[in-house]
Amino acid sequence: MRVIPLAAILLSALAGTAAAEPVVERDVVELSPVKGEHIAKLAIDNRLGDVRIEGHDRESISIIAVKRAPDHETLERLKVSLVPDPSGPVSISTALLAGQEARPIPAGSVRIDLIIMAPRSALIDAKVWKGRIAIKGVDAGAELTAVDGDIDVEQVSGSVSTESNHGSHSFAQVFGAIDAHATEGDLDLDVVRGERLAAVVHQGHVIGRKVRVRDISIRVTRGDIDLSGEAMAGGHYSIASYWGNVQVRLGKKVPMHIRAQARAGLVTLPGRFRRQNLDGGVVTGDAGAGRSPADLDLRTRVGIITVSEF
Amino acid sequence: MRCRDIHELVTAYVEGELDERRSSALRGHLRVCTVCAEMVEDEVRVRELAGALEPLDPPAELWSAIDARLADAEIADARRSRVWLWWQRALDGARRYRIPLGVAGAAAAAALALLVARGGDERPAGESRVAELATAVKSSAPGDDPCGAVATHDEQTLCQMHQEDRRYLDAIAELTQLVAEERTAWSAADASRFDAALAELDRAAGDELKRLAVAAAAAPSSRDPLYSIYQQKIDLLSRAAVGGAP
Repeated sequence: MRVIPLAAILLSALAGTAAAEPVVERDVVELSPVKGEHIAKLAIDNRLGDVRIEGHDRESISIIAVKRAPDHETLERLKVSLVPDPSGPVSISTALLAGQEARPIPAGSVRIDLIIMAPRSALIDAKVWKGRIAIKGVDAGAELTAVDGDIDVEQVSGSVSTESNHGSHSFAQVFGAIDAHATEGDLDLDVVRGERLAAVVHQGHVIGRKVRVRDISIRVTRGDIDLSGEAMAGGHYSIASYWGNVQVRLGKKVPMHIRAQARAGLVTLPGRFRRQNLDGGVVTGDAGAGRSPADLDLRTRVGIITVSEF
Repeated sequence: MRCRDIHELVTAYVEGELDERRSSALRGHLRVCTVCAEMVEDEVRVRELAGALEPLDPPAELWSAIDARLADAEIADARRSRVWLWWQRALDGARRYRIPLGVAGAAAAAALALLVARGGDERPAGESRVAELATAVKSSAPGDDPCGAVATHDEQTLCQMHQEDRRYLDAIAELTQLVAEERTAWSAADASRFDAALAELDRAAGDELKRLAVAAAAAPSSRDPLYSIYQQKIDLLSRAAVGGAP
């Protein structure tokens, strides 16, 4: 006997859910610079959702803003502003304007996602709060901050800096300098080349494939480091994890000097290295002959260190 | 009786609430003033039309929404500090006894100053909610989402800010502990240089926290400078604890 009213309640609840569909609006804006001018920098500040940026070969900027709100009144309060400054960066920002009445907005019911097509030559500066940043096909570098969200960088040249408190960072086909800070989140590097790679990860793993960078500094507090690539003659490589293993796989092309310290674990070096055990669990190894060996400093407090060659 | 008097009394007259003496005077004025007579006729006609309409029941959800709003308002009032309650009582008293507002304001200010001087623990409603959210974030277990159950957008943003603060501060606390273990092997000069750099960042973070404490808006972007300082601190501590270079 109780099944029927229960079913009715469930149906009415479902009907209520269906009736409260969010309102979605899609705006498209295009901005073209004055003839002869070009957009040197694009600053994007969206604390209400995701940002996706794609470089294109035109001088204009196209913005697609997808807004979501529980009702039309709230949708009207979601604003995207575009400020083109002829002598400075073009700024795109989003906001939820204060309403006339004090009716609270349900949590998680408002959102603005931005998809931006920008000139490849523009430096990109993007900030999100709880959302994802994805950037692709840009040549002048980027400064990206996602407080809580993933950052994906693909086919980007120049100086790239990424910061997040919670979220993973992914770099694919990046040429230039990378500076990555993640408090909690993994770092994935796939085909990365350039002068510098600096990464600080507090809690998370670092995995790198096909990495060829002159100076590398990677520090992880809790997490493993697994790096594969080629060392460069005269390059400096400082790779350390406090609570984690350090595994490095390198090509045989250049002479190398390794200093490895695993305070509570093993250090494994390839057979061709002239190995020497020092105090404090420090192991040094040299391989190859040449005036500018690649200098590797590998450390772990709790894990093991493994160096191999291919 | 003048036209202005009729304007004031017309509603009571049409509703039959006017005493006989004033009703008689009003009727006498209407006999000689066509403008007022038409106004009273209009008023009567509107009421007749309104009375002929079908009764309209408001939807049930309207009442439940009003109930919920009232409940929220009452809960918010209940969370208000003693100062607020005292102020309301003082205002009531001022209205009742026609005490000049300036005097009541001065008295309230004096009472507030006294409370502050005594280090009173009462906080305004918004601040107590902030404290509640901060406590919920602080006491949540790793992997939990303390902001998932928050009802409104503003509170969710506030809760997320506390969550992010906590992530940074947890990382800084852990690294600080690791540095304490490592620094036994440092030279005095290295330790001194490290401490100076750390003190500089702590000072900057302290200034920023003070600024945030008095800022009215709680937008996520207001945290940018603070988080930048936290990142620099994590970088410094990580270099010393993990990289072995103070």
